[in-house]
Formats: sequence, structure tokens, C-alpha cells
Amino acid sequence: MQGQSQHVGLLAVNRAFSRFAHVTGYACLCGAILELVGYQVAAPATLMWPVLILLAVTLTLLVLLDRWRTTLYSVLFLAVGGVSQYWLSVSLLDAFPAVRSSHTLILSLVAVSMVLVCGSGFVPTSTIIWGTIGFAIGQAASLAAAFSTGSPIHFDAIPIVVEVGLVLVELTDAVTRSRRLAARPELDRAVLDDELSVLRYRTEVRAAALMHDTVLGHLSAIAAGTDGALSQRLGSEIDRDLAVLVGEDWLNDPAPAPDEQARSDWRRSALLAAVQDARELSLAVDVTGDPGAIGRLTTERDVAVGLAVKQCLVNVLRHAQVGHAEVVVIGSASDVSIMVIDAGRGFSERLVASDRLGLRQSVRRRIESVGGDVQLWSTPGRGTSVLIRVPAASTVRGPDE
Amino acid sequence: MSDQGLSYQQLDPVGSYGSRPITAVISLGIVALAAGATALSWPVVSDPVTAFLAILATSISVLGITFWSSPLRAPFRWSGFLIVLIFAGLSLVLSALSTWTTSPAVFGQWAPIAVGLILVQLSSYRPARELISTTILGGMLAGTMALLHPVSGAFVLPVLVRVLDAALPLVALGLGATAYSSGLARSLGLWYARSELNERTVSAAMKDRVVRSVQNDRVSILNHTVVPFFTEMLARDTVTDEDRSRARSIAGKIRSAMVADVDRSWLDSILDQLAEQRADRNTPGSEAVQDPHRAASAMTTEQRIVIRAVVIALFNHPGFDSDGFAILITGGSARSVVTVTAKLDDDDSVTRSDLAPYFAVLRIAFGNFHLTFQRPALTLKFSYDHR
Repeated sequence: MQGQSQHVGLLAVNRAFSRFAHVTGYACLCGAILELVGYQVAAPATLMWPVLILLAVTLTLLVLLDRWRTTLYSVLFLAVGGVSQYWLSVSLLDAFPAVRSSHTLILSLVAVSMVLVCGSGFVPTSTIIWGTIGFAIGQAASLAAAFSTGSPIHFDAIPIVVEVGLVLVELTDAVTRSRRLAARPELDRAVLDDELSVLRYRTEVRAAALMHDTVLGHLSAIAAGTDGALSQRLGSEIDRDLAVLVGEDWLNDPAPAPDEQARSDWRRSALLAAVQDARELSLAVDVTGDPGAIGRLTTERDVAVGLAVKQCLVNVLRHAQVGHAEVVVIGSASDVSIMVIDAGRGFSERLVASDRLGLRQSVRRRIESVGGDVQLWSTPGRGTSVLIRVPAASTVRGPDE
Repeated sequence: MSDQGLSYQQLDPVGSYGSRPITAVISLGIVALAAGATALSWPVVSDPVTAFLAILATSISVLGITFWSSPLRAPFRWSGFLIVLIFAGLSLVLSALSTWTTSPAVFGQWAPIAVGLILVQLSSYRPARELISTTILGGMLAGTMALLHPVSGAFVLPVLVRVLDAALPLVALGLGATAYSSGLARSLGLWYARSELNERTVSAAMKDRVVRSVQNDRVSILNHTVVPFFTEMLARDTVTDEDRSRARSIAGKIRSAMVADVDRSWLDSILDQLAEQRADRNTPGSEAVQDPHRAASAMTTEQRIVIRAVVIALFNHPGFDSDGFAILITGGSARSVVTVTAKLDDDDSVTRSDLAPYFAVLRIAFGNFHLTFQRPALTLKFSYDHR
């Protein structure tokens, strides 16, 4: 993507400049037609309609050029525009000789559109070349009209001003463009780097949560145990987790279930697996509410919720000093909420040591990394409630939004 | 807000910063046009003071554009826009009054062109809907002045022609400016919509590399400490006092490392990454960041990207001295203030240096941006609401 936005930015500016030139050209030609109508109304005996037809043809060519920017249409526009400019000048100067000294715009409008329209939106040199050709043709047509009608010869100031302005703007653009836009590649790089940082951060959160759930849990169990034989269950868990952790791809996203309907089945959810693990550890867990709502989570969120609830239930076992917990599942249009409630001894989050990572890492950060949030209510002596809320599958929301 | 309600400057601060030299050239052109056209039409100027005031009003208007389009004042504010328009409108009226009693067929033509060009200048800084409203109002004002302007002489232009002569330059350029602004908003809006899709593809392609890197880091830590211990435990199948003590020690080390990781913000990570990449240049690491309330995590994605780009640009500046670099984030629970200090040995004004586009982007991404530079001390101060 790097450098691409610079290209897109320049392209957008070129296109927009082309729109500017074409719309201004339309306004000039429409203005010329309206002014001519004004003269015709003021002097009905004059013959202005052939010029009106020529202007209408010029306007039509501008429409075509606006839609299909080809050299053919550009050449045709300049040719017909030159003829229009000539006939318009001749007709007006014949009918109203004083027009020349009245500083009216009508003698300049077609010529201005010829300077602006054909080269706009290309590289500066092309814009200048096409603009200068248009300017030369317009001026030649005006001079020829002055000869034909015997009017005093002088150049129109307004097309000259437009031509000089166009050349100056394009030259400034060409000279300063590269320095002005030097910052853009750095911003593009920053976008990519930030995206990679977010990806790395999320992966590290997942890794840290897994490390906490597995390695730290086992080490704590060993440290808190007694002399003698390693318990069979702990031994098999260590064996299983070691195989996973030093194996391949343990941080990759969980593979989507081959059958989405099957995954959405509550009985196959990671949440139920967590509940069953806790029951095996002798914690009585009641599941209430709408467990089927779990099926509306993506695989990644389902896994994150399962592991987070598992950690909550482990906390109940280790710290709450009760043998019973309740898991309530609530589904709404946009979210799925899971509440883990116990009536244990409770705690004050302020007083939890800063190096205790279970709630922070295995629950809060894990859920935040999949776009959800966690709320906790606990009162010493009166139990603890943890509310985990994650967006449902149809809700597009990332962790950084 | 739709893209059509945003200005080019808001959608692409770097690109619109690039329009500044062109804005300056047009400004000079407008003043030259006003002065030159007035000088050339001096014989029909009935009130020289008003003519002079018309030029003055035009000059103030374009000076206002130059002032408010500075990257240090981005985005171009509504109040600035209004002041520019008031002086532009004033120039239109004063220019007409300056030839009022001498009654040329039409009043001085330079003012509608000048106001139209002012709208063209504004097209990089204000949204299309404001430009079209201004064009309509300006056209009506110019047309009304033409209708009210006394006419006399042997040849009198038709009313419609007089009105169009007065209003058309302003309306044509104003419509062009509107098309420019809306065209840019549409193109950039489409590009952003597409790039969001592309980013997902890019992420998918890079994800594997990142995941593997994190996994390798973790596995090497595990292989060094945990795996030998667990393997030995499993082989022995018994637990001793020494094992329990070793388990506590390993758990403590892992926990400390995890706490340090958890407490590191993205800003710390950026500085550490840069320090690692540029080890030869004594680049400051995360020790340069003071963020006691961990408020860096409350920035939006866009703000993070801008800070990252600004920090890298500062480090890349040839006059950058790493000794004076610090980032301090202070404030409450809903809003924070960031103060970046750096030593910069720069002969040029920083507002004209290569850093200027980054300041434009900072101004757009954050509120209350203030820059002070007293060589070599550069201070950038800005604030943001927590997301």
C-alpha cells in the first residue's frame, strides 16, 4: 500500500481539477448562450440563432469530452469552439459595434472555456500545451473577426489572464509537488506499522492469556502442593499443554467449524467445555438464561469467551471458598452477555496484588482483544459477579474501534 | 458526517498542505488583478478612496486565506471562512461604488473575478456545500449591484447581459470550486472505503509472519525455563521442596515479564522498536515516555498513526538531538494533553521545513494544537478526548 495513496492523492487532485475546468467551461458556454439570448431579445431583428446553434454544438462537444476524454473530442471541441468564437464575435460586432468598447464578457467566454477544458487533469506540461493551443485558437478567431468586421484590433484581457494564471498554477504545481508530498509515504508506512502493531499486540495478549491459563496454573499448582507423587491429573494436563505450547500454530485463530450450524450448537461451544471442566474440578455450575445465544458468536469470540469463563470459574474454585457458581447467558440484537456469579467471600479489586494476572490477562484483556468488554462487581463477604459482553457475529466491530 | 460534508483538508491534510504554494500564487494573482485592473480603468473611477478600499478589502481577504490555511491553524475554521467572505463581499460592493457616478456600462469587472478566485482558493479548505451556498449568495449580490448600477450613454447593454457580466465570473469560478471540492471528497471517500477492505487483505497476508514471530519468542522462553522443569517433573513423577521452590521462582519470573508486557503501551513499543532499529543513533526508547495514567491507549487508530509518523519524522530530521526528546501525557479520565519536546537544530522555520506537513496532520487529528520553536527547543502540545 506504501506509495499507493500518494498516487491516489495525485489522481484525485487531477480528476478534481478536471471537474473544476469542465464545470467552469459549462458555466462560460451557458453564460454565453444566455447573454446572446439577451442581445437577441433586446434587438429581435438581429440574426443570432445560427450562433446559438454553434454554441449548442460546442456545449454538446464539452459534454462528450467530459464523459470520454479523447484527443478526437478535444480537437473537435477546439475546432468548433474556434468557429463559434469567430461567428459570435462577427455577429455581435456587426449588430452592435459598440460592444467592443463595452467590456462585456460575451466576447471572452468561449475563448476562456477553450483555454481551460482540453488539457485539464493531465500532467502539468499537457495541461499547459492544450491550454495554450486553446488560447491561440481563441485569440486567432477573435482577431479574424475583428479583421472581418473592420473593428479595432486588440487582445481580450480575460483569456490572457486565464492563460497566464493556468500556466503559473501548473508550473508551481510541477516545481513543488515532490517536496510537498514527501510526508505521504511516511504516513502510509505508519498506517501499515500500526496495523502490524495491533496484530502483534492481539497475538501477544492471546499468548499471555494462554501462558497464564496453562504454564502459570501448573507452576502454581506444583508450588502449592505437597511432597510426594505428582497428581495424575496435573501430570496429564502438563503433558498435554506442553505438547500444545511447543507444537505448531497454537496462536493461530481457531479454525472455523466445517459446519457452522454444528458450531452454533450450544453443546459444541467453548463455554460449555469450560463449564464441564469446572464441574470436573468439583464446582457445581448452573447454566441459565439463553445458552443458545452463544451460537451467534464468531469462532474466535466463542473460544475467547470459553477461556475467559473458565478462568472466572477457576477463580471461584481458588478464591471464593464456595462450591457453587451460576453462569447466565443473555443474547440481545447486537451483543451476547455472559455473567458468572458466585456467592463467595468476594474481594476488592483495589486490593488485588498488581502481579495477579488472572482477571486482567485471562479475562479482561482476552475479551477486549476480540472487541468485547468486562465489568466486575464484588463486595467482600457478599460474592462476585463478572459480566462479559461481546458483539454478536453480525456486529462488525474491532477491538480498536 | 458524509464525505461530502468534509473538506479536502480534513480528508487529506498532507495533500491540502500541498495546495498551499498554489494558494499563495493565486493570492498574488488576485491582488495583482485588483491593482492592475483598477489602474487600467482609472479614467472611469469616480471615487479613488473607495477604489483603494476595494483593493484593500480584497487583499485582507486573500491574506486571511494565507493565514488560516497554514498547517499550524488547520483545519481552516468557519470563523476564518466567514471573515474572508465578508471582506470578499465588501470588495465586490466597494468596487462597484468606485465607478458609480461615472457610469460605465458595467462596473469594474475585476471584483467578481477576484471573488471567484477566492472561492477557488477556498475549495481546498472548505466543504462543497458551503462553497455552493457562497457562490449563490455572491452571484446574487453581484447581480443586484449590476441592476442597481446607474447606466447612461449612447449604447446601453441589455439588462440580462449586465447582470450576467457581473455575476458570471463569480458563479463560473464558484461552481468550478464546488466541483473541485466535491470531486476530491468523493474520490478520497471511495479510496478510503476501498483501502479499508485492502487493509483486511494485507493483515491476513502478514498475520502468519507476526503470529509465528510471537510464538517463536514464547517458545524460546518456555524452552529455556519451563520445558526442562516440567519434563524433569514428568519423568520423576514426584514433587519435592526444591521443586516447589523452583516452580515459585519460575512463576515469579514469568509473571513479572507478563506484568511488564501488560503495562507497556503502544507508544512505549514504538519507541523501543525505533531504538532497536536505529541502535547506532542513540535513539531514545520508551524511557522518554511519561504516561502515568496509561492514557495513550485511549487514542484512536488515526491518532496513533499520526503520532507514530510524527515521531519517526522527528527522528529522521537531520537536526534532531535525541537528548532533549520526551513525550508527556497528562490529564483526566476523559481528556488528555500530550506534550512532545525535542531539540531541533534547524536553520529554517519549522513551519516551512519538511516537518510542516506532519504538523498539518497533527492539527487535524488532535485538538488545541500549539507549536513553539525557540531554536533548538521544539514543543508540540495537543489534546484528545478518550475514545
